[in-house]
Amino acid sequence: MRIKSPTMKIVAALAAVALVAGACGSDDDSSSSDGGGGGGVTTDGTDAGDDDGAMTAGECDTANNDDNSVASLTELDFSGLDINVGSKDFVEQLVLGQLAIVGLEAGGASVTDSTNLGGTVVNRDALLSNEIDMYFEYNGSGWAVHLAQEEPSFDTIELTNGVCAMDLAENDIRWLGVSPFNNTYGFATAGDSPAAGLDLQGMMEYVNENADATVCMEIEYPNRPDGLVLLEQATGLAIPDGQDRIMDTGVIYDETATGSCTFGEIYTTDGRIPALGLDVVEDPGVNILYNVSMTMPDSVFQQAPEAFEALADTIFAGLDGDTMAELNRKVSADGEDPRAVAEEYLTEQGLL
Amino acid sequence: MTSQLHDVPIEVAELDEVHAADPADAALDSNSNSELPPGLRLIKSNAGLFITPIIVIGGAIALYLYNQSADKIFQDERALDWDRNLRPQLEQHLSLTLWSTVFTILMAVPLGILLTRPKYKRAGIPILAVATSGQAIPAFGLLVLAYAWLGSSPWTTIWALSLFTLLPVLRNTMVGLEQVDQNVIEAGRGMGLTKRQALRQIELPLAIPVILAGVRTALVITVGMAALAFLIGGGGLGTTISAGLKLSRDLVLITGAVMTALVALSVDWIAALIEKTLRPSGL
Repeated sequence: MRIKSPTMKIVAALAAVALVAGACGSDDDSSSSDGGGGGGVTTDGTDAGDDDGAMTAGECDTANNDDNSVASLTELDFSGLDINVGSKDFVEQLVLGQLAIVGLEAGGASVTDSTNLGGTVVNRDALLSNEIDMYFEYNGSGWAVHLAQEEPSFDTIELTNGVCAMDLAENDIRWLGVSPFNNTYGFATAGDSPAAGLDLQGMMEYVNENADATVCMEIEYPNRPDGLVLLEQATGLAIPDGQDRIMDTGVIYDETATGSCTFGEIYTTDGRIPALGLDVVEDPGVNILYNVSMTMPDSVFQQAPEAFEALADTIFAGLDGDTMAELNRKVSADGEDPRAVAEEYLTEQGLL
Repeated sequence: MTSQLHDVPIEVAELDEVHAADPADAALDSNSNSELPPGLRLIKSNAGLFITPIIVIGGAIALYLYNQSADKIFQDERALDWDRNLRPQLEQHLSLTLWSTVFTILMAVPLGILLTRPKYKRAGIPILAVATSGQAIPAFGLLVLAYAWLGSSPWTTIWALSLFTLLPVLRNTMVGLEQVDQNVIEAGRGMGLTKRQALRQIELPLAIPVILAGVRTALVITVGMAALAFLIGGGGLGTTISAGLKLSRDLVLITGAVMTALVALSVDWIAALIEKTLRPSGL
């Protein structure tokens, strides 16, 4: 019976260490967010974008719709480069990662496939520590998560320009190209649900009128400045207490399809929406549209700057919303291999 | 006889690395406490029980001050909003812990009693083996299996948690009952107690410290595991931990993690109080 005493001491010591570590963490935090007073940098970046790159012309012109795309990826020269390509852990990211891998290999690079690495933060940390050399990132995540900024721009090019300029200045991370397709937060309900066919205003009214209606969201959405708060402001309504449920991204689609979640938060290009027959709640322009860019450390970018820019632009050139959704669907509904889908697509486009 | 009765549970508890009663008891037995005035003696014999509240209250104050002093952006304000997030999550966490422990006890204690009766003793070893392998499944795997089987509801989480912590309570119930000196039971039977009376009046009271040690282990494991419940829509403080991770906000992450630790310490402390109250005097 003498065990408890040392146990308690260890617990006490751990708690103390945790609290001290926490206090230190706060110092780092505040200093970095002070450094993030780069709100100024952002404005500069966006201005520069509007003035057609007066100030950041050489630094961030990738976001200004300059088209550096080439007729065939085999024209690009990546020979002698070792590139480690990461991606997040959902289908769209797997496909994008494979598109980059196929493109890099066509240009003669030796590629390590680290796709399906993990979530947003895992990929970003790996990129910052040079464990991976590139992954595709959404401008909204860059803004709200990596750069920890508030009040994002609704203009997608302005947003990409701002993120691009700020990330390069602060973290030496390049944002290359902008996808024509956009992906954004949305809500869906089961195809046969009585709540099908509503718009976002109707959805919030429905949730407030029906106490048994649930809204399932993943954890980021309610806490992001570009997330739930926009919906609340636009509709003037909040989700009543106890009707919101937080769950893992992968679970939401299935739970929405079975009706266990009346509404589920989704990404609009996800292949599971057509596969599960979900009805997307109409969005009259509440959520910000996000576009994807290829992100990589400047040090890697400088090894072949023109080729990397061309790679990003070439991959993105044909990827409009329908095309991306179709590629996603092939993987998530038809069970095709992301690599095969990427090769097939690039071949169809005559890029290989 | 007294010393023999006392010694056995100590060995069992140490072997199983379970929580055992307070160090203060050991002090009570070995020291010549009788020299101290009664008030001091009460404090001294309960010293272990005062440490935890001090840590918990100190930790809560430190966490609060840390939160107040930190520079917060929208993401922090929103994720750490007391009424919107932290309070409901704390309530969910506590109710998940409470209900799953209740179900664990309801399943494990009667099963443990049954399996120590001579008639069913032979079934004990295989069932204990199943319970052991049940705990060998990773907590996350068990949650996801339960989700795949039962769908997403609070009860899914509660069932998964109570299955996961079945083992410590079951094992301690069986060990606790088996270590009761057969001579004491025989003596009771000789005085005319029925088997049921002997169980209720002799075996269970003598086994209670060991059983409660198992319950305390189960409680603390449950608090930790309930932090995973958010993955299948079960809520709890894991939501805040995950928000901190996904939004890359250390303040949110630390707040969630420290709050979970404080809940674990508090729950363990309350269980220690209950253990102290329920333990038969003289043991």
